[in-house]
Amino acid sequence: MTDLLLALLIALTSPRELFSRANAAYEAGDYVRSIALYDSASQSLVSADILFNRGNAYFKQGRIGRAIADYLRAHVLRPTDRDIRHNLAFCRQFRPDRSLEVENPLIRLLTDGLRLFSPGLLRIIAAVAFLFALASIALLLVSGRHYFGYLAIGLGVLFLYSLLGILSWNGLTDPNRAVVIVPEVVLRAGPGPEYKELAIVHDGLEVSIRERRPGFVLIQIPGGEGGWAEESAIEQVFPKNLAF
Amino acid sequence: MRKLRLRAFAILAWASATLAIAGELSFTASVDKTTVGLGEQLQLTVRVEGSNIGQIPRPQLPPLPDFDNLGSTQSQSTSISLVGSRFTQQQTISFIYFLAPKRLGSLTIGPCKIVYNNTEYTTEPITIQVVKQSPQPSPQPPSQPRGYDPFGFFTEPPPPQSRGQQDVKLIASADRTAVYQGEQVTVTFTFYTTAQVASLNLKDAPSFLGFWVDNLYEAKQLNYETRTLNGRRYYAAVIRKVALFPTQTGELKIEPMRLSGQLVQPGFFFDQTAPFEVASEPIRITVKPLPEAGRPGDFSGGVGSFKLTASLSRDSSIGGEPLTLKLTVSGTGNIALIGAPAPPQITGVKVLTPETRDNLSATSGRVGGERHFCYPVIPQADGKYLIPAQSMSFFNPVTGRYYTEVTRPLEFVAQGATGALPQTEIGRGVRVLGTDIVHIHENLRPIPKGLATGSWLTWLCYPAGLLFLIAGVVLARHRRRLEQDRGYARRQRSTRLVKRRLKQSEALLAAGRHADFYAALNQAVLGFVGDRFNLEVASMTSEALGQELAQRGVDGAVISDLLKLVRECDAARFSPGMSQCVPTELLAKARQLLERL
Repeated sequence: MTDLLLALLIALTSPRELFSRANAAYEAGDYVRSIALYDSASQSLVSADILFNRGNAYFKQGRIGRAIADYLRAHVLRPTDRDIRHNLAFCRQFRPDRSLEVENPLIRLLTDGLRLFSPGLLRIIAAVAFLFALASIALLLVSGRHYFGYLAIGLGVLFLYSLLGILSWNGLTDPNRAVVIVPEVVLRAGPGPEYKELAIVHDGLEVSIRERRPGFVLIQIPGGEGGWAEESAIEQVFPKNLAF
Repeated sequence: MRKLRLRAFAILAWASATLAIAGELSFTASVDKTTVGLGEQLQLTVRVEGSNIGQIPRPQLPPLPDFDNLGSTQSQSTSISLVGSRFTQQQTISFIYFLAPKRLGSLTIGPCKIVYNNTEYTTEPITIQVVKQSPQPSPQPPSQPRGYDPFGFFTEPPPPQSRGQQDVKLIASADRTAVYQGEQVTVTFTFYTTAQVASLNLKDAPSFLGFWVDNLYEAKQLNYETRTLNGRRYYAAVIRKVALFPTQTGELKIEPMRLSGQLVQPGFFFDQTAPFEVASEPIRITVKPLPEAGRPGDFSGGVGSFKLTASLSRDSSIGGEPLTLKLTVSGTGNIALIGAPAPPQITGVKVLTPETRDNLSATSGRVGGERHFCYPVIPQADGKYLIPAQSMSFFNPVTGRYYTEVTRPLEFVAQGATGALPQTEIGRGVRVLGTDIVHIHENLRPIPKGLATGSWLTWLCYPAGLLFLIAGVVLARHRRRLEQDRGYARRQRSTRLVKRRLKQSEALLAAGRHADFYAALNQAVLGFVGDRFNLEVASMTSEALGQELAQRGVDGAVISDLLKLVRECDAARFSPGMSQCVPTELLAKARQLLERL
């Protein structure tokens, strides 16, 4: 009955109100309630703040994998937010399975430059730049005025930048990207408990989904090794139905 | 039989050797025996070694009132060796004097002198014991001694008789017998022989229990020199030299070393060999514990003279790239026993367990060198970091006190490590005490769904852009043709012009200006024909116009109606009374005709 009333209350409450109540629950240390309220708020509103705060609530609960997933989603929505980047990096330090790979600073600089804007904004910029670049070319042909040519070149460069940015984001927001959300999961040689155990991975490990079978997924862990894990043990970071 | 047949013919035992070395010149004096019978002769050799000493003067002998100088001779040898990348020439000139003592007792040969390059060199005095009878015969030295053969390669058959062990000794000597724990003791095992050695084997090696051992020298081949021991001349060769560092306190014992081998016994026709076995005496070392009083908390275990320095591989880190903090301990002492200091605790920086690298050597018999402790330093957040001064304490056995070496503080900057944190100030400013996640956001900043996901409107931009481009291409082409093709330009404007002119005609008709109406109608029709077919109709007769139109495939009936309309307009215009045509009908005919054209 209480759940029903809560559901009714949530349905009748605006996302902003839900967000405020979730924050209050977080401040009171009631992370379970705050997560439920953040969930409801995110149903009708796209906001990096909701995802960021929910990630914090998960982190406070010690659920590293879910926190990382939310920070990643928030980062995609607001790439330049330093709080999100910090919490993502901070949270990753608590993963039991740590990667020893050191990211190339030049590649990181390049990708950061390409991801200055969110993927949605980049799509709009690319489309508008494409439209106006071709319109400028048309005006150049008709009027013969050179400044339309310069304008077309500038818009073309902007279009290419946006295109590369979208491609870069697509690598990050790959629907096959997933994270382990249970404290420990056994990777097996096949999609079933009867198969040989290959490895044990832990909460927060970022993996890639290679294949799906009923109840099981074949995941690849950093370094190339992998195995079959129970589907409930991992969470897709960027599922296709998520607004990104 | 692999018996070594090489014999020494010149028996030169250095009874006393004094070296006077200044620069590259060596000036020494020696005798072949220090105990001599009265009436016998001894040989005094004054040797000068150096490079480019061909013009060196003859040395000045001291006054020798107790000796008869029986004569002298001189020998010279030159050796050339490659040192580094250049050859060096080393010359040795030996001045040999034959002396005979005049009386019994202890006689002294004073220092010899030589002046070379304005420098005076002298030798040490040599004391000679003169006895009544001749001492034991001089030993047969190994002119080319057998190599030290610990694996027994030069084993000899058993000799027919043994001469006993009075001709060989193995002496272990320590440079000190009371040391602090961790202080170096240098022990030298020296083999003494008075006879030629056919083979030599290591039978028992000492174990050095309670010591950390560093080998300073281990003979691969014996290099003999002459030494006097208990008034007797021996050929001596160092077998092994070790640096020992006590790891325990109390009375420690260095066990004896045992050698076995065979000595050569000269025979009348053939030489023979005799086995021998010799052992060194044990050495007792008293090891004092390091004092408890004044022992610093960061005592490293180092006993000796050390310096401590610190350096960073770089002064900046980009993208969380690890740096290396290198602590270097350099000096002499038990450097290999110095433990790594604990990794420094720096907030925001992860310092991992160090890797230890040694660059050790022995200089003048003292073990030393450098020991590097390389700590990987991984910044966890952006900022400017201070690695505080690192300290290590050591014990100086000479002064009997502890001392502390301190490095200078180091700084580095981390960028792009894990996002960003407020910068850590250096020195007295803000001190970072810890890191945590950034607190939740209080304000909700929603993102429009279209901005988050991209709208379908964005997809419209692409076809719209292509349409713009196509339109631009078409328009540009049309514009260019208008400029370049007059017929195309007239044809394009013909419809627009004829419509305007027909409207003007209607207006003139409505105004009752019939003459002007016929003129305007005539101009509209002929203008249209001219524009349509790119003809200069104003300068053409009716027949010529008909022929041109016929050539362009215009129907004959249309041509006939056109010419008739033109004639009626001209008749109504110039002979209004003669014309029977109705203006409105003429206008309607003109419209029909233009449509047919």
